[in-house]
Formats: sequence, C-alpha cells, structure tokens
Amino acid sequence: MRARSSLLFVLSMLLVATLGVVLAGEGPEGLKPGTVTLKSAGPIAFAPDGVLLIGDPVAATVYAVATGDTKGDPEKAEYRIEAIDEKVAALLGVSSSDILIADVAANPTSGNVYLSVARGRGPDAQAVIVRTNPQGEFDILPLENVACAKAELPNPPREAGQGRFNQRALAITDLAYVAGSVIVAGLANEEFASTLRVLPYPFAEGTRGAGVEIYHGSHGRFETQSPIRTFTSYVLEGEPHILAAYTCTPLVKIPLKQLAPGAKVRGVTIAELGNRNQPLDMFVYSKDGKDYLLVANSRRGVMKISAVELSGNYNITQRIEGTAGAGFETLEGWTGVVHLDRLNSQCALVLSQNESGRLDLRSVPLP
Amino acid sequence: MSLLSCWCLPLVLLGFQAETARLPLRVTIDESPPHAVRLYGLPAEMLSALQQAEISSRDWQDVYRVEVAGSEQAQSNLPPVAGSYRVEADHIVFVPRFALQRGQPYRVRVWPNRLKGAPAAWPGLWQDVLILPDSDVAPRTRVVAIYPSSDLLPENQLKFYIHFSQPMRRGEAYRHIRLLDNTGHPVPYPFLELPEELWDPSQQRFTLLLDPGRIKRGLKPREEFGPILESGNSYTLLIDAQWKDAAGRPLIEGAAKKFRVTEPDEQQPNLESWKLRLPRAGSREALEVLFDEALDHGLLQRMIWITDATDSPVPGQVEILRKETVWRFVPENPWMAGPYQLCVDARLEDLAGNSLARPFEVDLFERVEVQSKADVRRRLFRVEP
Repeated sequence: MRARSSLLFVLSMLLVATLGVVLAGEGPEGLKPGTVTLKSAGPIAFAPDGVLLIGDPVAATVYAVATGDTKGDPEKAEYRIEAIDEKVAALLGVSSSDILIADVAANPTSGNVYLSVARGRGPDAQAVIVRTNPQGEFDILPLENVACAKAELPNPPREAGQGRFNQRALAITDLAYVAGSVIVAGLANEEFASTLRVLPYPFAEGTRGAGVEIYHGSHGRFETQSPIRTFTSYVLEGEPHILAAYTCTPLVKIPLKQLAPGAKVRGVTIAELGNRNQPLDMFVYSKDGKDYLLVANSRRGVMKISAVELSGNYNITQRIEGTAGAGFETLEGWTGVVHLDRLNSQCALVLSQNESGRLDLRSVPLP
Repeated sequence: MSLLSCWCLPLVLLGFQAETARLPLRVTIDESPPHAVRLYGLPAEMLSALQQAEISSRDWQDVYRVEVAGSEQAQSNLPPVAGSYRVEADHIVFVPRFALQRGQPYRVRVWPNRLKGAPAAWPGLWQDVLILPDSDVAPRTRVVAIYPSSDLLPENQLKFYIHFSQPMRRGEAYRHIRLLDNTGHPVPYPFLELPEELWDPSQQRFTLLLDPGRIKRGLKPREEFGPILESGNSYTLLIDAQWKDAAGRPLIEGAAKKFRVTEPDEQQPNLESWKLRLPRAGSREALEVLFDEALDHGLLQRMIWITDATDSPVPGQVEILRKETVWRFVPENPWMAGPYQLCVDARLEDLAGNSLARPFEVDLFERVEVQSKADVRRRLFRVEP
C-alpha cells in the first residue's frame, strides 16, 4: 500500500512536472500556441521577453509573437550589411524592386535584427518577417505553431448594407510597447485625423483598445488633430510621457497617464522639426549620464535633442518665426536614413539608402 | 554544417565510385507554382542513400542551391532562396517557400564533389540559369477616375482619390504624380508623402493628401512657402504613364486633371441645409439628397445611410452624382409610407476636411464645440403615398 502511494506520488509529481513543461512551452505571459497569418506587415517593435509586436495594417490587427530569440549579447552586436534589400529579396526569391521593407527593429534581448517585409508590391503581396544577425545570416521568422496573441483595431464597415462600399484602409504609422500597454498610431486613407490607440498588454481576448484624440496648438490661433507619424516614451520630470512627432512636423509631449480610453488630450508642442519634412523614427538614449532623443526625418536628416531641451518649459502656441522651441542638432554624416532603432547602450541601428539607391544596415555609435 | 557531417550511410561502399567524372546533371523548373526546381543526373544509389538521410535545408544549401541571379560580385553575398528539399527516385526537388517569379532569372548552383563519396574527378561547381518566360507584359491598366470630379476646388482642398482599372504597385506613387501651376511649372513639395502610401485594400484607389502643413494656417511650412493652391489660379494634377500596376506593367496612358481654385472653404457641412427629393410610397424611386457643396467621394460611399421606422438600415444601392453634390439611394424593396431617417456619420467631410463634427481648423478663440456627442447625425423624413 505504502509502495503504491509512493508510486502514485511519484507519478503525480511527474504529471505536475510535465504540465509545467507544457505550460512553459506556451511562452511568455498571455501568449497561446497558434498560427499568425499576416495580411500585411507594417511597423514592428519588441515587448519584453523577445516578443515581437507586428502591426498588420490590412487586417487592422496587432500581433504579439514569441520569437524564442532570447539569448545573445546585444552589447556585442555589430552590423554592416550592405545592400540588405537585395539580400532579403534574394532570400524571398525576387529582385529588390519587388520587396518593400516597412520597418526594422532590434531585439533588445539578443541583438538580432528583424525586418518587416512585403514580398511583392500588389494587393496579393506576402507579408514576411525576416531576421538577420551580426554574422549576416538570414532566415524567415516562423509564424506557425508559435506562442502568440492578437488585438484587433476597430476598422469596421459602417452599418449593415454599407459594408460593400467600405474602401477604408488603415496605415499603422508606428507602434510601441510602453509600460504595460501597446500604443498604436495610425492613419486612415479616408479620414485625415486618426486616433492613437492604447491596448493593454498582454492582450486580453477581444482587446480592441480605445482611441485617444490628441490636439496640439502649435499654430497661433488654431489647434488641430492630426496623425502621429512616430513616437517614443520618456520620463520627463519624474512622469512618463509620450513624445510624438506629427506628419506636419510638430514634436509634442503628452503625459502617459492622460492616455485614458476615450480621452481627449491636448499635447504640448515642444519643437517644430521643419518644413517639407516628415519624422520617420525616434528613440531616447543615454550617453555620458545625459539623455537624448534621436529623430530620423524624411528630408531633414537625423536630429539629436537633449533631454534638458525636452524638459524645457516650451509650449509653442505662437506663430513660429525661425527655429523656436527645443533646440536640436542635425547630425552630419547620417544621410539617407529611412529607419532607426536603438541597438544597444552604445549603438543605433540604422537602415539607410546609399548613393546607388540600395539599403544598408549598420550599427552606428550613438552621437 | 556540411552535408558530409550528417550522413549516416557510408556512400563510398555503395559502389558508384566507379562512375566517370562525366556527370550528366540537368535542372528543370515546374511550369506551375510554386515552380519547384528539380535536379537530375545523380546516380540512383546516391539518391537512394540521400533519401534515407535526414538533412536540413541549411545543409542542402551547401551542395545544391537556387539563387536569384545577380551580378558575379553580388552573387557570392546573396543568400539562397528559402525553401525545402526532397529526394525523389531519380532527382532532388527544391520547393521554394514562395512561388518563384516569371521573368526573374534564377541561378542553380551544385557542388557535386561535396557529396559524401563523390569521386574525386567530379566537378567542384556545376551551374545553370533558369527563367520562367513572362509573356504578359503589355499595358492594360488605366486611370478611370480622379476625385473630386469638380474643376473648381477650394484653396484648402485636402485630398484627391485616384482610381485605377486594375490593382497597382505599392512604393512608387509619389514619383509619378506632379502638380503643375498655370505656367506649367511643378508646384514644389505639394503632397504629404507617406512611406506607407494610402491605398484601399484592392490597391485600385490611391488617396493623395496635399501637405496639411501648407494648408493649415500658422504652421511653419505655410508661413515659409505659402499655400499650395492659390485662389484664382489654375492647376493640373498630372499622372505619368510610367506608374506600374501590380503586375509591373506601365499604364496604358497618363492622366491629367485640370482645375481652378476658389476661396478657402471653412464652413462645416450642415445636414439641415441639405435638400431632400423624396420618393413615393410603394415605389422603388430614388431618394436624392442634394448638398450645398461637394463632399468627399470616399467618405460618401459609407457615411450616409437610411433607417426605417424601426431604426433598421434600409438595404439599397448608392450612387454619387453631379460632382459629389448628390447622394442617390435606390432601395431594394419599395418604400413604405411613414417615417424614415437620413443618418450621417459626423466624420463626413467636405473637400477641405471640414466635417459635420468639426471644422478642419479649430479656432482657439472662437472655439467651435462639437455640436452633439453622438457620432451619427439624423434627419427625419416621411415617405407619403
């Protein structure tokens, strides 16, 4: 009897151990085994534990996918991959003119780099996440039978009977994991002003998030609601903020706690990034004990703004003459930058177009 | 990493060492997708041994790989095409992860002497180039419409919709669109160039935004460079024929939209000032809503609808007429006598981005508060016998 009890105990412990393994196999918190079928691949960013967030604009969905890529030393990662567009295209069996790279993100846990890619340029283009490493090896991120979760963004057809006319599409302009939430900025092709969405993370079943309308008053008498192009988070004077750059150039700060579902928020404009220009990517870093914001722009190069300037008591509500607001330095030599991310404590990851039109991926010491 | 390391069978014992150095290799490409590439010519015994071995794709690539054909210099640095391998009775199949493309040359490289047990005389490298012919290259896509269709547009015009007869190619839109002034010179930087490009899901409708930084008053771009469009002047929106469709073919021809510019429009559309042309009960006559200005063509498709006395949507066909100033609705079933509602999403905009909910620019000192909390504005009408 005693022997049998012992055996049962051992068996039950084995069962518990096995279950434990199975549960661990489900991956990071909130993710369940499944298959992600991307209709399109837009902006990407990392959440904790090597979880990749993938914005799918066509499906109006954000996916969280466990990459399992959690080992490695990002501090040792260095990149110098020339004509990466040709290499990614070759992996996918096409020429570089038949792919589009929508975004680049460095995995902060491993130092490996992920690219969000469209193979093909028509409506039937295939969405692929391509991964590379400092050795210049390439592979395709598996999306079948992986630990994953999703959050659908509202993009419904109007009332019944109207759906067939809905040609509305959503361009996700940026997304980021910020302190327990995934924040998504988008732009619809029909309505000019789009809302910022805040999705609690890990995604709960049926998460849709709630929109936040952000106004900013950078133009004298007029204020506006316009689409956010890129954003990042930063603690200003002890309070977490979103720093957001708009399609029509203002850089705006918004306290994170104001981004409550359904809220209408007025952001404070702290700088104008210049005309004929669009901000593309930005991140915050520390160097020699000081914090800086790095912003890549479509026509105005890469700008470096010190945290001292960000914390300055700027609130541009007057008509701007010259360069008002937070001061910035436009970096020499950072030309043709199309995407930017933080690689490690020493380097930025830069995807830039070279003189022959090819895209190079490089790690560049933080300025 | 090498194929040698993962073979379980000592092929040297299989007897094909006696083969001559002449190795009759040849590759074929399947006519149907995914266009598998098949390598023939290896000795049957070797294939049989390979069939029983477990070999990863990465190891296969060391002896047999399919690559996008590039220049000699680039070739050595290009990764092979992603895919899987399978050994059949008389050949090895490479199945690409994504269907290979017509018109794209592929180089097949094989290193026979890396196979375990290969005779020393076998070549170090054998290669061939394959291409699937693409005969369908004649242009067949054209611009079918540009909205707004009016040739009189306000100075603060916000966007254009360009409709194509077939799906288009993403990533090159802004290279093929220009705005010319009345002297034929291009207006510098008139558009908001979004890297994502704003297409509908079928990629047959492109949304072109004029730079809002030069439309909104008080913004730096406008202060420095002035508005894009100026009242009293004429302009041409020009689309060149080199814009490629999804199949990579140029357009049949370019397109142009000429228009004259009037004073800026800062008035919000007002549901109460629209005229209704009512149908008779028992008929399937059209209900017509006549606006007092042109409204946004894209939004008109889905932001107006009719509900019946029970507040259920009435199914029917919508048409947008007379340069986007008329919304016409033909119900599927005859109208009943009684009350109906015209429902309008408050985000419906005019050509300058003023919506029912708010003007494009909100004046801080003469603040226009949103008139109603509801997202949908309603107007009652009755259908009489």
